[in-house]
Amino acid sequence: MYEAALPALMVLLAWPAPLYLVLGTLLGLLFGILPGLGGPQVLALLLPITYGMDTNLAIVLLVGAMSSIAFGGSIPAILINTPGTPQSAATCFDGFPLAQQGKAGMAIGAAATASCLGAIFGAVILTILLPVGRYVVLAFSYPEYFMLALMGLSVIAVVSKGSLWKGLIAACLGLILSTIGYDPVTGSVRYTFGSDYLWDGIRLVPAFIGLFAIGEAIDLFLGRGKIAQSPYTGRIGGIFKGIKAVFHHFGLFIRCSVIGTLVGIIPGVGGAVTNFLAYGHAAQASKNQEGFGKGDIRGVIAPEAANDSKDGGALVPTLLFGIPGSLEMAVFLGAMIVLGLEPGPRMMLDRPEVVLVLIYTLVAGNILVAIIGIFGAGVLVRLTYVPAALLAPVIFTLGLMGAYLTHELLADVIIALIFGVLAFAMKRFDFSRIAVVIALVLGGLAQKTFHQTLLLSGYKGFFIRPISLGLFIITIAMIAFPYVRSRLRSRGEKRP
Amino acid sequence: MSNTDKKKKAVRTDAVLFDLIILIFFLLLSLLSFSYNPRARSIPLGLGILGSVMTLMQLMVDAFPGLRPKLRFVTATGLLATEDKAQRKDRRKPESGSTPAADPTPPESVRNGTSIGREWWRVLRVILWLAGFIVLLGFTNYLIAVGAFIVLVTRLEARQSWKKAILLGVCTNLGFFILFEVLLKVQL
Repeated sequence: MYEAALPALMVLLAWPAPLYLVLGTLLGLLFGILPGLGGPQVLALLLPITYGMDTNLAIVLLVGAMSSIAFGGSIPAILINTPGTPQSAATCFDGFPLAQQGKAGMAIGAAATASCLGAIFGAVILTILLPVGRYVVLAFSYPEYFMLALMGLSVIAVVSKGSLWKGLIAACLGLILSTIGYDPVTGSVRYTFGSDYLWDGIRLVPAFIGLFAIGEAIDLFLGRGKIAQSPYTGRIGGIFKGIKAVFHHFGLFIRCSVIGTLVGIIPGVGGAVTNFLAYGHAAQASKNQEGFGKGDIRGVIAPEAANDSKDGGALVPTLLFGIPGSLEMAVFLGAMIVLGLEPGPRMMLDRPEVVLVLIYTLVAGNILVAIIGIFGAGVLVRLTYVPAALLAPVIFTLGLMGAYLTHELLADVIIALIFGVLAFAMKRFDFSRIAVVIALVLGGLAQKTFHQTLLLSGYKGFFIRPISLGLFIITIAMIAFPYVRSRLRSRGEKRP
Repeated sequence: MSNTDKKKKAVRTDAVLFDLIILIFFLLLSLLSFSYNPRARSIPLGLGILGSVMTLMQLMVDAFPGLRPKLRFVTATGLLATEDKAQRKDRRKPESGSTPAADPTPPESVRNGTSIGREWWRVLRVILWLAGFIVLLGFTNYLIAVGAFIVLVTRLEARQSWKKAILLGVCTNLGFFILFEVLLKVQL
């Protein structure tokens, strides 16, 4: 495969490939920014355009679009506390507080750099792992998926600022909401109240729009201020501070990139899990944890690094087995088949230049979007200084229209409004919205794989497989570590 | 009772009401789960019972602050929240005074003089405006719904001038038209 490295690079550099790269990247960035739209939508839009195109150029266009989605979703997450895509949800936790402190430029700079370098990391791992990735993919079964979901849920204990009890109540709420709809394991339809719409359960996109955009916009509108609570200086000097921060916390960046790549390899887990796991790891493993949730730059670096490195990982099962790692990958897989490509182990032998063009485009697209993000930050940051009276109505309509766009169903818009009101109330009474989000995302996976494991091997099934047991031990360690450290610290303070 | 204490008491009452709504939600879903087969029922029922018990305890602590020393685990902070030595020392002191630390802080608008009742009336109005937008979206073109919503909310609720409201409405509509119809070619 590696002998095709130079020819593949020539393909990417030869005209009109750079033009397609720029077009794809810009379109992906736009789709990432808009709540309600994302990777599946932009790929579906581009798919008919690629009919009859040269295979390599089509790959450049599609992968260019895919590569800029993650960072695109982070921009509204930072500026208006609305993730453009579910995989950028964790970036809100510290990105938006930074914007409120007038440090939106720093947050964008850090997000752009972490995204770009994370993608490069993921691409390098993809290149190394492709020959051996099948062993990793085949090692995961139901118990491993359940333990991964459990690990993600354990992050709730970390991110519950203030009252842990209220965080756990919010988690229960999210988990019970995730039981709504048709359950394929038990064959039951739960809590649909006769509505066909609820058969698919609570859709994540409208729920996220409600929890983040609508709830926050209600608060902003009532507060009558601006997002940024510090005076506008006209200078966006923080961007380079943000870039430097990634190198300052390079160890964290590497660890979160590893998390993103490894979790991305597992089919069906998705980007939303990755960014929570990375955020949770950053919060638990850091010495000074008080700043998380209040504008700690590490809370931006961690999920952003994982978000983009995940793409490299997700391509491993997609290319090796034709098993998509996410919905985005499922649409991309369809595109590859339409282009006459057959994903599988033979692809590396029969069409190595296509695989390498794909990897190069992933890297190039991320570098390009990071540059656009950094130079465009000055314009974007001004949004945070627009008065709430003018900004909030636009956020309302953009959010609700984003919810409507996905399936053109009014029910999605109603769900977004309900979750928006819930989010506003939760914020007012100090309940963690993050806990609801994590539980909603992971609840379905957790309960499905729980039942599947019980059916296959009973309760012992969770503990007899080495990877499953290992993940369980890591989860316990993640929960116990901050508590143990706190106790050791207090013992140290008691000694004279 | 001082003005601040009255406001905090009103906020505590609202917190109790919110706890009650969540508790009723958990109880309702727990009861409904009995209509499903045992395997389908197991997880929702377990979560419903757990959620109900936890919410009931939270409600009791919010309604009767005197119970806080006995139910310390309900007001314990998250694993991430670290206390310094002084804070830990304060936490160990017996509760005194009428305002326990775990009370929710009144929102900024209330601290600035707006009454709680007026604050919630404003919230209700915003929700009604949003509901009105959804109804309009269901019966008309999205551009009409967006334009009408932006103009009316900006003028009547945010109390901006008609000129600003109309300008914002027109600009938003233009932006949405270019975005959805021209760039994305989405037929709405």
